[in-house]
Amino acid sequence: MKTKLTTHLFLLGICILISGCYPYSTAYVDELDLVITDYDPAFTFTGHQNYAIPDSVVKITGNKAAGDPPVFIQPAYSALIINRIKSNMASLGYTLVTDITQANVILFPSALETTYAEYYYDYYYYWGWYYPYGGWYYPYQTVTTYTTGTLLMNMVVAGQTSASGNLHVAWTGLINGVLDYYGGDGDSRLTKAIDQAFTQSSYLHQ
Amino acid sequence: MKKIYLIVIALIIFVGRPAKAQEAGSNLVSLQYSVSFSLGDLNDYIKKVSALGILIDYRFMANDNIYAGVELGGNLFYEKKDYASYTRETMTLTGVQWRYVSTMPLIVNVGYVFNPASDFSPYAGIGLGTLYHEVELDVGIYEFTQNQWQFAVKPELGVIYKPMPEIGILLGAKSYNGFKTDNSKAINYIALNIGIVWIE
Repeated sequence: MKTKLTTHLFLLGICILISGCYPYSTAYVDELDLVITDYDPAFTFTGHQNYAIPDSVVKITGNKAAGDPPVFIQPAYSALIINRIKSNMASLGYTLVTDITQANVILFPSALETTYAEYYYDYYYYWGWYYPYGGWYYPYQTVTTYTTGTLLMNMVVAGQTSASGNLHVAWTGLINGVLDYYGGDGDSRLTKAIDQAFTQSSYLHQ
Repeated sequence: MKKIYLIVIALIIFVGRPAKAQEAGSNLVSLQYSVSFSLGDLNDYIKKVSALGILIDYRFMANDNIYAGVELGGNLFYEKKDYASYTRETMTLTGVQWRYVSTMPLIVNVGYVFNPASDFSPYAGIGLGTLYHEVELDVGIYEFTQNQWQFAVKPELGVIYKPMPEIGILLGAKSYNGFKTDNSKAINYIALNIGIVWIE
């Protein structure tokens, strides 16, 4: 009897310890927002204060052939992004020029969306408890999809190209986050991330 | 789940066998819960105390005082780092980070038991083995992981209280000292354990 009680207590202990408290991960979608910046340490930003920027943000679709016209993101979002970039560039001491030949650097913002799908299979049901009476059946499957948005801001040096024709990118800012179609804070998340990209790039200061 | 069932079945078989006091030739199996404190490089990465640890320990009493055995455990250290910037060379990354380090020590132990016939039997031991660990960094939607094996040394101290000849309660402290490799920093932590001991 004592051994049986011990066994039950032992099993209870295992269940508590193993199935207990595994840490939870992300609670809010904005916790997945990510800002990455990088720069060319050989380039001196000071003295290159004139900059130009397009009036729309290109949408990278990945299916355009050379010569096809670019696709742009919605004008409202383009304006939001570009105005925020301009505001940050002004704070850093840069001067916006409309004549591209007067620009020392040019900022090219672009955006893309990527949808990911994750599949979960629960093999607990694979054989079932009823085998061989009910036979086996397929594992329970669920699918989750989420879409991320990425904003790229490339600052290229005007008039500088490599021998192979590549532009000289002096600074890159990348913002990535999960798009929340149901939340109302998308704009503030975006502007906060743009601000952060410039804040953490103090070397841009004139 | 299958692994858990196998462990449970194996322990049921063991528990169901006739009991014998702790003495030469006896076997001790314990299931221990661990609370662990990171040290050194591991502490630089995760400072939060780990309350998620479990350990299965087997000991064979070679004589009344000397034991040899093996242990297999698992600990999970984790910590959420709030929205902050991290710079490496020219790149700066800002975001919320989730840091995880899971360790799985597989250690061969030898030790000495003081007063084995008493209800309170202190012991001291040392173990050599490997410390498998997985370091994971989650930031944004991205996940970076690295797995490594390290050689490890583990001194320990503890006491087993035996309210019944075949059952004991263990309290112990273990110091896991992994040695760094070319690809990984040293994993070091102290674990405090409480567990149930079955003596056969």
